Amino acid sequence: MRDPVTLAIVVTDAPDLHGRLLATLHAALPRVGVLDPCAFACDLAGTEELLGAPSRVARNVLARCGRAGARASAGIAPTPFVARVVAERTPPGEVRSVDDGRAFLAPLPLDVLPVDVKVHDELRLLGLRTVGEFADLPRGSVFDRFGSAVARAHALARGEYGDMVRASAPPRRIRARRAWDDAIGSREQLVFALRVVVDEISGALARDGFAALRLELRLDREDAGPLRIERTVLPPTREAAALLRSLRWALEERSELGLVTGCALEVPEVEPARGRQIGLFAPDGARTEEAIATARYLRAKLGTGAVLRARVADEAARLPERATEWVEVIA
Amino acid sequence: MAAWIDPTASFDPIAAQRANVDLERLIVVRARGTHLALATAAALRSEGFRLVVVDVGDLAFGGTKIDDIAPALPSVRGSPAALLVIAGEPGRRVAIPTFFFERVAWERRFDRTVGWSFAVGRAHASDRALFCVTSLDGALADLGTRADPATVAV
Repeated sequence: MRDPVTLAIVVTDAPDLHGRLLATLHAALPRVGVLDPCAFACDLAGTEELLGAPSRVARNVLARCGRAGARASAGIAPTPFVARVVAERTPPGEVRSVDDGRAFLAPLPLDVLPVDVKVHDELRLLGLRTVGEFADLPRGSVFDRFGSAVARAHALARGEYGDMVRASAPPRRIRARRAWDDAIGSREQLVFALRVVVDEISGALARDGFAALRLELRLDREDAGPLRIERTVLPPTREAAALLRSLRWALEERSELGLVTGCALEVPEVEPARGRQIGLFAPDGARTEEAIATARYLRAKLGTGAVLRARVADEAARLPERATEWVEVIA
Repeated sequence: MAAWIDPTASFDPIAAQRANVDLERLIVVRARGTHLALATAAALRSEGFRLVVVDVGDLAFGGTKIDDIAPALPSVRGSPAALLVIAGEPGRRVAIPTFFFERVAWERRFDRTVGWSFAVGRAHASDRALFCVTSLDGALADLGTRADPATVAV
């Protein structure tokens, strides 16, 4: 059985940095839960061998937060509630660790407990002033008089309620890079060279049980700036052949690629590897500009009068040819 | 967006509009012969379409065979678009999931043909789903499922 250890990080002076802090904590901690804006909790139980002692982890996290521009305080306690209260009562930049949550909470005012204002007033009318006095009440009596919500607060006051840290796994970055000594000028050679990168991405997706939904390819070029290509992979897949085919099609749409010296392929969006229904009739992600580009390509191949858009001019016209109009998609 | 590959120029915008097709989101490509596979593959490979329909038409009216789109079929895998092929008869070289449409009766009003009822089913399945569509309101009426379309009055 692992000893429960929760690390809470609270930032009070930089509410705008919530997103940045969350990303910072995701990079440093296994699972991060958001308690409130700029208040985070992480269940560190069982991570000591991997990450080190909780106090050391907390100092590392505070240093990272400091580099992100926020002065955070850290609290370590057996339960998330106590850890948060500890962090809120610790000066910025410092770490405080509490082993006995009930003893720590006992002298604090009742305001720290998450209960309704009316309940606070009622508890004061009963002569209770501190969390410790409230915690000393019999559990059954609290439940009978106030109900389950206040009974939960009573358990928090006794340092007993080991609420789960509802956390999300950090976003996984699946990325592969290659640099080539000799610049690649041929499209076919480039596709061949990309095969290795795609195989690496496919392996990473397979390990995590994911399928790629989007691909982002950046090609570093000797004679021009980087070329960025985005592809949507529908249905999502982790098959190297399908991913490479999608990239090859994208490359074939470019008339000139230049001299490519390196590439970075990233999967910014993944799905669990399973089937997916394509939204045929919903306003989906189909890109109008891509459709127009294809229409332009087909017009160049097929000539005028082949790529058209229909319009109903007069549904009640007596002659069928007057009822509709056909216009070139590409004028 | 959807692409409608139409080698016989038989696409009827009025019927499509009555069937609630948004013509602004439809591009009609009149590609014939070898260009049919080219246009189909280009539409499938594009990121711009979610549906590609190929109406190969009737050979007697300038249509082509379903087998002519075979070179484009590898593009279906990995394409963001679904491919729907409409043909008078099944192909010999291409193997794709196929549904057969059989006419049951023409719908007539005032001595004019305004629609038809038809049965849809898989090749080797006995069940057929029956539908009726008319140009009067453009609505598709679901007539239920029958085991044997021959029992339906024509």
